[in-house]
Amino acid sequence: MFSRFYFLVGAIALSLFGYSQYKGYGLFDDTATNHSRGSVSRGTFHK
Amino acid sequence: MARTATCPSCGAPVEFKSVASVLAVCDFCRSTLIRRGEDIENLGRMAELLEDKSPLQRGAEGRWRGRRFGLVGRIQLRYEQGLWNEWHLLFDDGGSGWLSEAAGEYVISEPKALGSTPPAFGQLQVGDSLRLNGRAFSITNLLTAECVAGEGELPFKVGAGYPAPVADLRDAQSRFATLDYSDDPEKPLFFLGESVDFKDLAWANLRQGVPLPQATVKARAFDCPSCGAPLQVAHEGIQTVGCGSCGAVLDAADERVKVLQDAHQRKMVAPLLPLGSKGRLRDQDLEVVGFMRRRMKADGVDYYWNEYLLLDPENRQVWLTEYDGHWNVARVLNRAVKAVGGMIYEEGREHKHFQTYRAFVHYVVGEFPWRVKVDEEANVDDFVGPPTLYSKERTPGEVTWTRCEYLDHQEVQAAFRPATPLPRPRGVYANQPNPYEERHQRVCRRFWQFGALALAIHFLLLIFGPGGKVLTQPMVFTPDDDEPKLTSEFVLDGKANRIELSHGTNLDNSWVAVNATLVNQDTGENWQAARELSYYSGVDGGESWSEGSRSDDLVFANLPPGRYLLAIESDMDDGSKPVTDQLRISRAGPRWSSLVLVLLFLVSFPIFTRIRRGAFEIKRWAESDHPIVTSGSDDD
Repeated sequence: MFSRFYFLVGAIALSLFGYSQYKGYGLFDDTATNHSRGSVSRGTFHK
Repeated sequence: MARTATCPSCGAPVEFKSVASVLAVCDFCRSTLIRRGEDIENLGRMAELLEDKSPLQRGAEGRWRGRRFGLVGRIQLRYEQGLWNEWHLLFDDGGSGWLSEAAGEYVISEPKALGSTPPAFGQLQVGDSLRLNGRAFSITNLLTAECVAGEGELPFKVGAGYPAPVADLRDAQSRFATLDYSDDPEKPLFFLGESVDFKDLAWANLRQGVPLPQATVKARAFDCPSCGAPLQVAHEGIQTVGCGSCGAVLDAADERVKVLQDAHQRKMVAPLLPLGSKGRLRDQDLEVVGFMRRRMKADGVDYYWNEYLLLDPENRQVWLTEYDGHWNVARVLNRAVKAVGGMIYEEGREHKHFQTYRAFVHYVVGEFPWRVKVDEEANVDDFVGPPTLYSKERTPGEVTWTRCEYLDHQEVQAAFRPATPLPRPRGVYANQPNPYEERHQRVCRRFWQFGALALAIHFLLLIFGPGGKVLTQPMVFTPDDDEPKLTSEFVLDGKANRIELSHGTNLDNSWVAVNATLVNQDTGENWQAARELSYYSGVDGGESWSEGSRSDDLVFANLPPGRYLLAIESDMDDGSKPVTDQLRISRAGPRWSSLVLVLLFLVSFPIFTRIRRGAFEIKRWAESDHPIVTSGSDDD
């Protein structure tokens, strides 16, 4: 019973793990949150 | 070649079939005739043999290890526990040997020359190891038997009352050896052989009218001489009967049924499996014929357990033991077991020493094939390797090993169907299988599978996944540089991109603030993040120290597809040295931290099952001589 439960939970955990690794998600990532839309003109940083 | 002589007493022909035979007993007048060369000397009349219901007789033939043999003589011996027969064998190839018949056990042995002289009989101790002709034996039995009588041809001189000091030895491969000190207390005769199964000897010409070993034969009824209660002996080879009414222990081997031990005042005990109960346990038909309660004392407290003697249709003994509802099926081994360092190795696994104690017979009822007595004492060592337990019982004259296997009480219930259901087991028994062991093993196996899969996912995505370098670009930050520095343009495909911005600087006791602006060239959307990198180090009091980091990682998430560039503005102390930064932009890929986290999560399950398994083992060993010490028990 317990090993079945482990199988189920482990399979779910591995699925989430595989997806997050594919997408590059990390629990400890420092993520930039300051997002603004259109506040910088297209040409601002053109070299 | 057989030689026939004439009995000097009655004139009847007396045959010496074996050249090894020096003594023959005349079948007609029972004169003991000894051969001295061509002469026959009459030593007098041999005593009568006692009736023992043996299925064997002189003239019976059998086969052992491919050699045919015949029984040509017999010595009947008496010892403290009863009678046994030593049948003199003559093999077809002219060799001779012995078939020992005692309490339903048969051993064939042949005389062998000894390479060295073993210790004298008086120096032997039960349990001692002895190396004979290169083989390691353990002394299992020391006794001085008394010859009752002999018949037929014998290779040496015997007579009623002759003492026979013998040492029985066994090794781990069921080989059996006897050192017979009858002739010389310093230089014994040596016999080497093995335990054999009666059925395997391909018998012919067995004794007529005597059934082969059977569990149930015609009962012999009698009244208890102590209390008058009706009793009976219903099995072959029974030496002792315990009266269920008064507790007296009776000598059933004697037709007059002597009282071996008077009724004792102990409370009568009702066996959970009544005497006479029949059942089929593990494909073996069994009948309960004897019940014994035994006791031991530990820390001033008496502990009691029950032992049931059962016989199968071939008169083989099987024991059932019960303590606190825990059952074991036990069989006495016909070999020695070697204990090394408080441990034995049997059945492919270790059996650890569990307990050493003195066991006493507390109460007896029913039939027993030896002379059992209340308060009979034995020193016992138990070795545990669930589901089996090996028990070494040692008395001054004998060492026996018994193999016990744990039984579910419901299996015993189903086998014997007692009127009163058997009680449920309480607590943990020494060799009770750990119910958490199998679960733990299953969970461990599953963990290794999950772990391997997690590693495979991680490394496959590292190699073949969408993560990876987008660009690297070196930058130099100076105090007087106010202009933002731009990276090359890069393209992100797909939805919800995650990129990682990594700095690798050469900071040395300085800091730099970095303001990064990621700009989507197509839409003008931008994402900003301010970071400060600092790294200081030095030596204080002879010890080096450092704080901060020269590197930094930052993730920009949920980026739509498009062309991007990154603008970096920096700020630092005036007068600071220029700082070089190896800037790296990559698509976010598999995280090591995520791998560690998922492995930690997965391993928590086997850790849990291991703790449960360990708690059971702590309970098991708490009753032993070697309790498992835990931090909790230290506090107690």
